[in-house]
Amino acid sequence: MGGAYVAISDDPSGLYYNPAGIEHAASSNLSGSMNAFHITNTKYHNVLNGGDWERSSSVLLPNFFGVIQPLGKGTLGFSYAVTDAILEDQDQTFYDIAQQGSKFHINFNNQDTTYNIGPSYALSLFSKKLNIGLSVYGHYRVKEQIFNQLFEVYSAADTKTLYEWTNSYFHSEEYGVKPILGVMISPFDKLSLGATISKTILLNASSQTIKAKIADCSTVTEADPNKHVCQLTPIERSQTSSDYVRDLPLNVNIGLAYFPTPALVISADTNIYEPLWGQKLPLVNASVGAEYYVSGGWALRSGFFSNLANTPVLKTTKSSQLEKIDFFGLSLSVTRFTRSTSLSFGMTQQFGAGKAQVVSGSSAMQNVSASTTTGFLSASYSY
Amino acid sequence: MKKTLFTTSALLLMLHTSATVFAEDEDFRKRSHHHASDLVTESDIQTEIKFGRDVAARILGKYPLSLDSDLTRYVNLVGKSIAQQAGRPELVFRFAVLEADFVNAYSAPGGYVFISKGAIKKMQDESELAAALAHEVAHITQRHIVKEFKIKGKDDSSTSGLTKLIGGSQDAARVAFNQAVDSAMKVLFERGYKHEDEINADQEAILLLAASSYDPTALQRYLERIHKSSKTSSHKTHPPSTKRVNAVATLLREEGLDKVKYTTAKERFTTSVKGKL
Repeated sequence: MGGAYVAISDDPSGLYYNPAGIEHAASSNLSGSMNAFHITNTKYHNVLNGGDWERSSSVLLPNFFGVIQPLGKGTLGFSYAVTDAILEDQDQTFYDIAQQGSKFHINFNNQDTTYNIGPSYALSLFSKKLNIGLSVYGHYRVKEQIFNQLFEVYSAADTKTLYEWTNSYFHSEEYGVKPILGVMISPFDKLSLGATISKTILLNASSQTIKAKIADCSTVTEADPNKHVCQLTPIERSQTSSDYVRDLPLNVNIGLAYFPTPALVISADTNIYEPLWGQKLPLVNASVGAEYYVSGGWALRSGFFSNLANTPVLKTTKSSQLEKIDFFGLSLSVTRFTRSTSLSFGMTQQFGAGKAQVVSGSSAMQNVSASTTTGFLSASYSY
Repeated sequence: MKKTLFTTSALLLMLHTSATVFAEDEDFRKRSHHHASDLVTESDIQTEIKFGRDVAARILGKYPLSLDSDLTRYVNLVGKSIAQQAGRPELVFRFAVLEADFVNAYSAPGGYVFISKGAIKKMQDESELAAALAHEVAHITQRHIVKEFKIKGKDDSSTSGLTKLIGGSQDAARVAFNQAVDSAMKVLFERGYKHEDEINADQEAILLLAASSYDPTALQRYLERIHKSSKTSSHKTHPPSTKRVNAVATLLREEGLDKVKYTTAKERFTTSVKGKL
């Protein structure tokens, strides 16, 4: 449903979308699991000598598991959610960059995964007309990048091929908590409103960067870079570390769902993120979706959503700025229900465009186009 | 400052959404697949019986069964005459007397009904015994516990098999079944049925009494007597409140059964229970 679920949330996925909704779960005990195959393709245009740099990622992992069941006067839940996962493995060669016959090889590996795991509890007030819920997730993010660059060029003056190999390794880990407080009400018949407020509070972070460089330099002692004379010592190694703890934005989600008939649900969400990096206005994303039951056993879900980046607009006067890629996407899934189970298969497709600066130290900007395809299989069992 | 403003605005927005006007009914959230899963299957009935058997075993583990075969036979004859009108021909109703002085009766899903000797002692005629049993039969026929704990049968569809493979739900289902039995015991011995379920059982009981040609006011008479003595009795789970006693009187009037003269079978009751309590 394009993620427009804040005002519905009546199954285990509600533990993440809006914990208040789990009080509306139709079954006293229910578990859900989801496995997603995620493909990302990002193309940076005109990076080197007019060539494009294309990065792709594919990852298959279980990204959600949740259980809910009544406890005391409310409903208890426990869930595990991988909210972001990137696994990029790229190998690409650019030709004729500095001069005819030169080669620039890039080998890039990037893994970036965010895990959330934790309990939830929801309570109903006024005969289930007002629900409140709280999820408290333990947050763990691990990121690892290995970047190899090899530049080869033939030097007529030296009568040999010169090379420069650069390797950089980056590893970071972040630990924190992510509380999600949710409310859900039904102000009018067939209408549900939901809202959540959440923030990932990082408690500890560490990162390490190691760079190494080896170059087979020219014997010609000219200071002209076009002649590929080493400007630095032939072998370099540097290591830096940091324990800087980031401040992540507050997030408010507001959703509305309309249930005109048992066979149709229409929903819309607005996701608002606290302004960062000196921006004046909060970032706003939106999604709309619908669920339609062809019969009691089959349902179709579809939705549209925006996924705008919460990074500042790039300026031509600066270098090493964060990339800004804004996405728009659609989702479609089909669900088969039996009396106690449901099995869903679906696809989500996002298309994005934006700007980036991928050449270190350069103020040159590249246009970026990107697409993300996610296929998922999820199952739930109620008893 | 900007952050404080944003947080405050966010909280105000959430409070605004939780305004004090509410929809009348939350059932609108039920979608087509929920309605489809409400249909009762053969597997549901078998699971209900198995569930009820587990609950009944726990009740008998708590209180001893009366071994007086004549009394048990009499209670079964009265109970089965009521159950014949109950509209659940797929269930075999079994009635038993508990060796206990307190005033109470219990029912377990699937057709198991228990009544204490203390409860029978408080009765003055057979129609009152029929009324107490009819109330418990109604809890069974209306599937109050089954609905509250969503007791369902197996789902043997191919989709279900695939789901179990992905979700690994077998152990969870077994644990949930046992937890539901525990919860049902809490309903019977601690919390009591939901108020609306009690009223519904009273309503059904009155109709069952009338359909079985017993005096339909028997329930009212019995509840009033218990209500008067409830301050001194050990009635824990569902002592008849004034509200409930009044509701029964209203139901009798609404159904036009407050003036009918059906049998109380007082003599047969006196003969059957004499010297057995």
